[in-house]
Amino acid sequence: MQPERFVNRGALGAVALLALGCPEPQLQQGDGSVDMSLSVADVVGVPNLDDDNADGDPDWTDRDKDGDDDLSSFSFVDGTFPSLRDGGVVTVTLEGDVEQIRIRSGDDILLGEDDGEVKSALELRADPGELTVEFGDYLAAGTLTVTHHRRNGTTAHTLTATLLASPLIVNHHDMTATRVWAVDGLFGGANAALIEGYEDALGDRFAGARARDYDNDPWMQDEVEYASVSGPDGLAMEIVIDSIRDRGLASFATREIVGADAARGVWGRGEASSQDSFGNLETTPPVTVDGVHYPYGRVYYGYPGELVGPDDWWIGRVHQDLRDFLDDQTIQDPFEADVGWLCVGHVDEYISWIPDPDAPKGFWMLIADTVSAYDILESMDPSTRLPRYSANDGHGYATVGQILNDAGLRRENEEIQEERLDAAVALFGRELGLNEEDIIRVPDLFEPVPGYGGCHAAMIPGMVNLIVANFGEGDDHLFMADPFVRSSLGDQREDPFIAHMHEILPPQYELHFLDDWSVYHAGLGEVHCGTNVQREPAGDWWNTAAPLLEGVVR
Amino acid sequence: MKRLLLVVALLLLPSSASADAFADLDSAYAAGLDAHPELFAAVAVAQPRTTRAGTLRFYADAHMLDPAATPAIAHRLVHGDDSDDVRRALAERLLRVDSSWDGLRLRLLTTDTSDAVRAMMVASLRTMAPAPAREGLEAALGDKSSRVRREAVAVVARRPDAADLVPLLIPALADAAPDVRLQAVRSLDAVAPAEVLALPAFGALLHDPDPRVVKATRRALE
Repeated sequence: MQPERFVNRGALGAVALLALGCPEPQLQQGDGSVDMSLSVADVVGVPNLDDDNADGDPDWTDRDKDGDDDLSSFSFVDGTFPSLRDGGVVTVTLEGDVEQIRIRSGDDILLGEDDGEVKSALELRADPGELTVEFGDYLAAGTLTVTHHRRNGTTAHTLTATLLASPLIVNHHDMTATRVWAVDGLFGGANAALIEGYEDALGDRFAGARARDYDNDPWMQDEVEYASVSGPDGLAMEIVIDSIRDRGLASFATREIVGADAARGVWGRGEASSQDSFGNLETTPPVTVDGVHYPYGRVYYGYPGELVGPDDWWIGRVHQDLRDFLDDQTIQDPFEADVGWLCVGHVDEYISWIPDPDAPKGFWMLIADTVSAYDILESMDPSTRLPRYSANDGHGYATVGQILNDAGLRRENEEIQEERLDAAVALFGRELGLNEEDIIRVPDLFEPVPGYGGCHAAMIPGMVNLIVANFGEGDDHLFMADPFVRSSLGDQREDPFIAHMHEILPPQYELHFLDDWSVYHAGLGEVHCGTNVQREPAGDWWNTAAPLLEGVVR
Repeated sequence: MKRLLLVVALLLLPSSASADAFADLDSAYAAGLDAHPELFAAVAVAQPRTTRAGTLRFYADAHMLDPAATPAIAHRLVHGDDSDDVRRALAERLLRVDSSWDGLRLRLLTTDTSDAVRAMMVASLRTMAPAPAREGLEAALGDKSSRVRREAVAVVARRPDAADLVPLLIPALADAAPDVRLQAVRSLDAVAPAEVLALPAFGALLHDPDPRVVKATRRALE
């Protein structure tokens, strides 16, 4: 008997091969191998949310698919339909998220969502030619059941093939950087030093968004969070999670990023709290916790915790819609960290990550540390003058000694260390299976912001709030704030905090200490807050993250 | 109305070192306007920028950071018609000015209708000379706004002469506002000798209804 089967012909990573004429239906790869490497589903693709034809609408909403490269194609192999000439028929049914899946033949939608209607069954008496699978949402999952009915009505074979769209995978620092963004020309060029620092180090891998186009909004980190979806055979799409904060940079994603192979999504609506900004949404590098491997790390974000001070009008939790969505993506298993003690209230104010193959777990967790900051200050001549700290936009300290003699400041930082930072070490240790050997402590002091009711911000510009621009092949950079703990502002070699950072950070990175004082530090942010990084899309999650997706489709 | 209340308050105030502060401001403003008309014009229309926290602050603005702009900033704060949020941002620009502005800052601390502005003026006491700072702290600790009192209690521990100011903090342990009691515990923990922490008023806070106060007290007594 002639075997009847269908195989993928394009972007399909998994190939469902239906051997209607064989004693047992089986699945196999496109190369004929029966060794199915995709344990998560038989057919994997990406949600078709970008705008390949540049018509301004997500491609999922377009009937015409000309130029669309985000569909997975397959077809019945030669010889399948001749066997139906005896009067048999093949029925194909689609179950699951049928509103978010389409089985197409050319422009015809055979199964799934079609202009608001749902087709869930199809009868074939002839070869339909090449078919495509299109997904409309993240983790859209379905089951395609193909049944060969003999002429006499009996069933010859039934085969089910599972379909699954990529989850949204939030970028982490261990993904290769492709482009670094900051807003250029802020307040008439007040951030020129930071921009020049990026341009000098990165050349055309740095992109400046024009400040006048974005109402001088410095906080590039806060408006968007980069993520991706991916599938076999090179299917990949950048996804911008667009914040509901919607300040000056609200249109950034649409103007600069969205298009072919790049889409945006917004989760939540209404009045945003500070926690809805994406300095408050970060992802760890890949990590294994209690035997569970998270190949794309774990998402984390801040929650108010124990609020400090009465000025909490802007404090909230990350919007429920976004939290629910991130939970639903499953493979990055989000958790929350306390940011209630910070005026801005973002996790990037005190924690970051640096990939390092020589580290015990392949990365370092960086956390702000007040103890080492005081150690360094106490090692300095107390008469050391601090021009930046005594300036009109400074912190009211003329010398190192004045900082050291501020008993209230020391008491504040001791409490922050014990109750917030050490608690964060414990939390991240539990959630990520980390211990002391995985941590680099970055010296910093926090200060109650005058008149803000007792909440805190970095007093020494927060170096932990850094940018990892790892382009690979020895071209890896760390950008962070110049701490300016020195008399001679133009000589970074004189700064003991910078010297300390050179000692504790991995040597393969080129370190850049940018002057972010007048725009970012004075605006209660630092280098990371004013920058964002695009990265290469996630890899083969359908293989590496399969254990985390058990039950999603199969 | 806000300005009217300010004027009424000024008339009711007893004389002090800051009594002529507003007249001094007007004089300084007139002189500055002659010397720096463009700078003063820029200050008059400057708008604060939004910080990452969403609050307003004058940053990355050369005009507002120019020491010569201080009379214009202070004049706008006192005589302008800005919103409370903008006035707080204006007040913040007076944190780092020189001691010739102490009198004005003390007047604003006691008379401004906005507790956010008064709290900002209290914050300026951190770097002020001992005598005017004590005057300001005594006034601020009796302010009707717990926000102002909390700021005052916090500032005491930030000053180089904090040990001399410890007695000012003791009454704050019994303040009606938990934020003030909490900050009083923290400040005393930072600067007070052991015998102060042994006072019944301090130990009583181990039974405070606010768990944050209890926690801070326990930490101080450990």
